[in-house]
Amino acid sequence: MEHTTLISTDLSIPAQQVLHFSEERVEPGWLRTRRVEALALFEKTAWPTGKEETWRHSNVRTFLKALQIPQQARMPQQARSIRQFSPAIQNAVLPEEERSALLILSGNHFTFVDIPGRISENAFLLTDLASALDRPEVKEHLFRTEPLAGLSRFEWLHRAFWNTGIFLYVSDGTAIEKPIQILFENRSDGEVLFPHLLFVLGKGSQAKIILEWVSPDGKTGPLNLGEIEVFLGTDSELELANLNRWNHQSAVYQTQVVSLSRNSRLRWLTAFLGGGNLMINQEIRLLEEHSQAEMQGLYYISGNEHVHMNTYQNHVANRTRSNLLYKGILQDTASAVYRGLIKVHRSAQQTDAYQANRNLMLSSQAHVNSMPILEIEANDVRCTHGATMGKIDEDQVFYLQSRGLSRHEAEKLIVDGFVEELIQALPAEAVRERVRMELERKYEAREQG
Amino acid sequence: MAEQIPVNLGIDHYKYGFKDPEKYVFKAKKGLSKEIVEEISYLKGEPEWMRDFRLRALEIFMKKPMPTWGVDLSTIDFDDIYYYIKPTEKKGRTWDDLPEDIKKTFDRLGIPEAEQKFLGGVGAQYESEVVYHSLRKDLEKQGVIFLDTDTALREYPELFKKYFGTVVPPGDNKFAALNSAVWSGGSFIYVPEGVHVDIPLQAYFRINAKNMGQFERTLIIADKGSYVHYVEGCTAPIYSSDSLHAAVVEIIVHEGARVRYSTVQNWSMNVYNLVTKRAVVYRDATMEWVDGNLGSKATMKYPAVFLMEPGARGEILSIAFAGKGQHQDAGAKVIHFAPYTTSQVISKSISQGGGRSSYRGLLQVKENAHHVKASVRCDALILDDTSRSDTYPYMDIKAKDVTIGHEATVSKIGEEQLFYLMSRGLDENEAMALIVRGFIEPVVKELPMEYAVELNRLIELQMEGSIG
Repeated sequence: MEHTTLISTDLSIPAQQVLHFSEERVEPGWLRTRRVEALALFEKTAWPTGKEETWRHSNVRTFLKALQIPQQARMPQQARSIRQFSPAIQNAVLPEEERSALLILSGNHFTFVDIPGRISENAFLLTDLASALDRPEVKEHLFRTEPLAGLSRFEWLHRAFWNTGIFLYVSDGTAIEKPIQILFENRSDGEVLFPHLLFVLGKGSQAKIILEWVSPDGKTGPLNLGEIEVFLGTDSELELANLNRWNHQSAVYQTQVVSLSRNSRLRWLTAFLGGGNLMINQEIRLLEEHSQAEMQGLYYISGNEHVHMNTYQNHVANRTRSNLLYKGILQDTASAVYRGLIKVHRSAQQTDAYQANRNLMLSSQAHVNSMPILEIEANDVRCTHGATMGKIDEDQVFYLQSRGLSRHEAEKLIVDGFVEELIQALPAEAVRERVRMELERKYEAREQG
Repeated sequence: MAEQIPVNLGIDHYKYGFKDPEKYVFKAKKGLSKEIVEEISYLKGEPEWMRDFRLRALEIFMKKPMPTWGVDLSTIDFDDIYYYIKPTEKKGRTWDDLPEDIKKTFDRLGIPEAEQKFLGGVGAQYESEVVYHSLRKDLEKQGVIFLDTDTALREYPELFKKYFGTVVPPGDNKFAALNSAVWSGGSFIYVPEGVHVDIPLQAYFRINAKNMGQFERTLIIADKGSYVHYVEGCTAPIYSSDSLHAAVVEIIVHEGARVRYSTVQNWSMNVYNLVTKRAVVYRDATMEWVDGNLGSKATMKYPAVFLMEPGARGEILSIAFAGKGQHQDAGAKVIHFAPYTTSQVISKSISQGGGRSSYRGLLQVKENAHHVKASVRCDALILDDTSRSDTYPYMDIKAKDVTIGHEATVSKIGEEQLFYLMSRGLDENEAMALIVRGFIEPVVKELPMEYAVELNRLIELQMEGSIG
């Protein structure tokens, strides 16, 4: 297997290459056209230099060095049981009574879907993306997301060469009470993975999704270059939990955008529990009146991990609301970059937007950059943001010690308290418990300082 | 949505928009070159080190790219600017010494009146040169130096050389480099150890000629345990083509000293105002910037405080008002280099009539700067739906024992507040002006009385007929 490295910035990819890739995957003509169009825009765009506002404090070369063009047209095979996946994945699977459906995707190797029979076949579809290309909803929505910041060369390359993916469709009026669990195993034989996740919620539908990115033990790809597109129909409701459990070698660049129609609601929680070098762009597009979204983030960054989050609360329509809270704990020599933009277009009167970033510093070697930004073009609005950085409050420690706790216990209790409100927002007890354990493990492994 | 009534403000009301006939002793030709810089230095009779400093800065200026962030600078034509204009042969020590037309200008600005009533000293700069300077006798006796920067270079060469260019080096940014190459005028203040200057020292800056660039350079040194409050005001007439103001202000606040620097910037609507202001603050010393930005076409100004030693404290209070055609990109920059340092930023901005006001701030805590406390508070009011407000705060924290807070809000004038005031008999304009005045009050109250009154009046003028 050959890999072309992309470090050279003047690299040009012939259209023939993407046509060939698409043909081998036996894709319909419309998709081939979209891949070719994406490649043309890739050719027209330049790589980020690293000096852009959204790249400051992160190293663009880390991602460029790991980048290759996918060569293999391999499609994921049906796995016979979950035992074909790594123990980390097996342990993450929710008990059957706590979920309505399960999909596991291991790179572009294996997929496993388990939808208990009691759910009507027409209610929803959960499958790997390549198997759903005949669905009208895929044709309608795939690549139809236009992020506020535009698409960079990374995203165009992804759209030209995405090589694995997941499709979820919830039909109009369907309410799925229990969470849909999606596990992505970042397994690779050295090839880059370009996962594309497309979730479409029909009018008036309701769903909860628990999406988890897990690095397998051992094998991991050089780069995960992913995109998530979510479309919420009129009056629909989505709870989306996105858990990141990458290993220390992982480089991840992902753009995740949720587009909201009239009167739809979103609650989106992202937890960063592990990762080597992460660059995550997240956006809510409030496209129609009365749509509202809550974005929550929880990051616990240790060792020499680096996590860069760019969030966008993009208010396009009147009477839209958004509320964002990202809370992080930093220890050892870890570093975090939080850049969040509230954009209120002239068309978005009576916007109510809030944004907060709170950081707890457990080490003097850790480093945090926080850039909460407001760009407001409408006048009848209420937009507020705040950011804080601080250490564990000595008064609180003193108080707890006076009640008989050791210093260690007191500090641990304060750290737990700092993140508990976000853990509470997760939709399944088993997931809440696992997140608590991950945090505990990180806390106990910290270096003093 | 209610129909928009065209907003009428700013330019019609700009009361300093009068202009005097241009009569100059010397006017360098337009454009920037090595020759112009050498000529400026020669005409001023400067020592060689200063000429070399200017030429080095010119090279840096030529090399540095234009900033691509902040305001739109693409319309500045560096070749269409006069970099040096000398309006008069000699500097006045008494008001009557001044040529009639310049005296008239400053009379209209109310300077001699203010001096008699209130000020410890005053300097007035017209185009490139300081034309009038005076300092109260008792302050002079205590060893306080308040001179224009050119004279200070001649009379106190050692003190000057020790501090000049140490706080803002020419390589700091493109406009600091430009100022370093062609600087002229500005104020030089030295306050000896333990001396408290109990009344403000003041300077006025005035651009009169068309296509003029004003590049004053101010240097303030507050020795141990001293105190001084320096106030500056800026105006210019209205021309159809743009002028450029690129000043550099350097302040050194030694151990236990306190410096307050207040500015009311009221340039006419065709001035690019690109200013680098910075203070270094040592042990237990305090620096306070009070900054009001009302005029100009585009302003980029971020008063900075570098907290160098434990106990140092910085405070930045700023108001920006962006009306029609204006972009105020103002903010604050605080760097905590040392432990046990504190800072506070309060910013209030108002946009109206299609104006855009931005807060751009940097708060940095260096490694080992523990026990740092810093807070930033930005509030913005948008008065109509054609205006825009941005907030770009950057926080870069490399230490653990810190307490950092940033808060910002953007909102419109509350309907209830408006309704209440109107029910008490105020018309909508008056009610809005009152609310805006209340909004900026926390900063305005820090200004000397006459400036506070002036600022409130200017904002009222800008808001007249603004109901939409």
